[in-house]
Amino acid sequence: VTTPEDRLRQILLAEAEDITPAGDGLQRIQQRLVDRHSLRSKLIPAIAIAGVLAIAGAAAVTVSLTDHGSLKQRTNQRAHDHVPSPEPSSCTTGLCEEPKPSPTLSATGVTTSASGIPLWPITTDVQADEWAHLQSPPRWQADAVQVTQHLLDDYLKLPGKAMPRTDDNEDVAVVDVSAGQRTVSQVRLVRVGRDPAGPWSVVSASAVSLAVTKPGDGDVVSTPISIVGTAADPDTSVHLRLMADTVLGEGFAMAGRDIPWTHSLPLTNTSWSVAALVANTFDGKGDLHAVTITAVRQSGSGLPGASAPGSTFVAVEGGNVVSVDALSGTTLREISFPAAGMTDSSPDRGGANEVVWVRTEPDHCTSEIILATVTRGTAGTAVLAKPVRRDLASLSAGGKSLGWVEFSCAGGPTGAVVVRGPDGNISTRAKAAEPVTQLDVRDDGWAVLQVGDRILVLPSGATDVAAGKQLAGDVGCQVAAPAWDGTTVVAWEKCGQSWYLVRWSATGARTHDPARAGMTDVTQTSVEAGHVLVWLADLRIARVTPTGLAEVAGAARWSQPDW
Amino acid sequence: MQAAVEAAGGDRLVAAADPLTALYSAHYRGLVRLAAYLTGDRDGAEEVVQDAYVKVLGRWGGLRDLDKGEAYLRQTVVNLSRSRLRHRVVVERHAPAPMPDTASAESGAIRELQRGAVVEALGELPRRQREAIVLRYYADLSEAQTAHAMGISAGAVKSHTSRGMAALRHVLEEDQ
Repeated sequence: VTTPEDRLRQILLAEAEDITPAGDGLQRIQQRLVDRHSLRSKLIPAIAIAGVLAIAGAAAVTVSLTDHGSLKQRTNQRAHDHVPSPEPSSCTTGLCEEPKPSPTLSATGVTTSASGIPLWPITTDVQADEWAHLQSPPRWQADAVQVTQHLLDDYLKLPGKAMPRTDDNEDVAVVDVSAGQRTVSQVRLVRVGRDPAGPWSVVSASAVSLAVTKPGDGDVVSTPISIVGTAADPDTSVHLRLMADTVLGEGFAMAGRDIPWTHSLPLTNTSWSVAALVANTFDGKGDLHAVTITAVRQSGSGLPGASAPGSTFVAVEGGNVVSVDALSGTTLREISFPAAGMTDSSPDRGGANEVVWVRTEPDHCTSEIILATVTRGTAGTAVLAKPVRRDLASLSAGGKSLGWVEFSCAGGPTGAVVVRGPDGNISTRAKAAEPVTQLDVRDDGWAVLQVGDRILVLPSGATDVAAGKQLAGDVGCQVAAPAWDGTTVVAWEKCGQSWYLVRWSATGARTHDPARAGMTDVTQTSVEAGHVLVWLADLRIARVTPTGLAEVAGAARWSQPDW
Repeated sequence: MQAAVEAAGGDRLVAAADPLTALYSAHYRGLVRLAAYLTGDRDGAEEVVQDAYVKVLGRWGGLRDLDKGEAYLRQTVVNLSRSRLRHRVVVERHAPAPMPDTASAESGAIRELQRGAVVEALGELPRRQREAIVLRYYADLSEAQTAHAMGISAGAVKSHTSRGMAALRHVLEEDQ
């Protein structure tokens, strides 16, 4: 008996017989490779000359601008055990300007760690997998327009019509909602789960005539929620609801044209983690006038697994991401459960008790970035699987930006630094000609990285790592293992055999702690609310105390710690 | 790809003076046929495959592992086929009304390819389903190899293949 699959094979192979390539393919490819080689041969000297000229020019400018400092440094070259100067360094060593917010960051934009926080109808990978394995899954969930219509009809209970999509993005959809022959909202949806053809879920909605400016998307809130917004129309009554499985709180705010309105929304139910803050208005004829949806999260304090800053970290143990009590040196819980052959690495904490890590498939290449909450487990795939190697996942402190380094599977040490901004779009894709060994991003998309023995601060939107501003230590000293602490860069400076914790403020001013005993080469630094955790090359993990190091017991079984 | 390669007349990796010649001899024909199925465009398919060879062999430092050449080429062909399809959608969206078709010697092969109801139905599948079906049943790849070539998970391959087969089943049954 011939199965349909066998029959299909036969047909495809038979039909393919009729396709015979032209006979000059090899010559064409050879000619193109020769042309390419020839172009490179011409370009390389030109690039090299341009590079030399640029470096020479920059050096001349630097010397002329910082002549005094440069000469002083040269004449004051110190012995290797020299203590760094406590005086703030000049702008030439660090950030000379106040960092600007990422252009994708806006008070009312979709602000999440990745593609958004799925709100409805599916919120986790687990639910998406369950949906995919149902005998007869509700097919409307595979269609962004139908999901939007069900959102209006079944969840929000608002009169409106989801319009056909005009975009063809496979991972993110924007669906217009119309009522009374006008567009009253734009609903943004993302695919949830590992399946690229998986179900859609709503992450936010915005409107022209109504905006919620506080809380922002992804913000952590507590009862009562202080809500601020604006309306474009006079004397508007704004209906406010906080919704999860049920309505958690409800109220009305009176808004005037272009005057910010405020409302304090008390909650009747606090058993939730992520909820939709829905604001809507009606016009004088009773038609829906505007709808916005903002994803908010509840503070994790007091919940099982949540912790005070500087008391727990995440790390890799036996191939799984785990959370660890830094004080007692015990594994608290397993967070990741990779399938056989999969490798989890590079965990990084951020946001409200969230953690991201890189999952690499058995081909040692295809990778994705998983997002989970420390307290509640996997929350979603933040970056879909693609045949690129990824490393150094980094989630910003507020959970609004996500960064990583990616490389071609073809090998080679070079790659690109990628930062995804608060609206889920790529804000930075900077090519890196040298290996990037450390990466940390902050909420506005700025990144600090280590490239070779240099620390660079990379603005959001940069296209080349070479455009980063170098944070230099004292002459003769080495700097390593940078991390953000707010807008301050924290790193280690090694002068001779002495180690110093140094900080560069946003203005470029540099300060340092006294030399710290017990240090060896630093592999990784992590900072949370001023608490510093360090992973040393001899596999020790230690909390940095005012006077020295407090080692975590049994640290050799964990790697890549981050809190 | 092996089944396709064998069906195509026993193309195999042969000893050759340089990697290009070896990879060309072994895989060019099969990859052109693969690209033809993925893009539905025989002439374009050959350009896609030539682009893939130039990309893979023209990298800085060249191809380090000849044994992986086929996988790299196949993956590049899949990616370039996607780009070509996207480009075609854009071009067609902005193109003026097409001129009436004129028969040409070269278009004969395309018409031949499109004549089969199965191949027509295949061409109407969503892109990912078509890719999964072609890679699994024409190139004879495993689910894992298909997943690698498409840049998705093996589970997703299974899902796309299953949906694609469901869509083709009635044509296949009629064909019998």
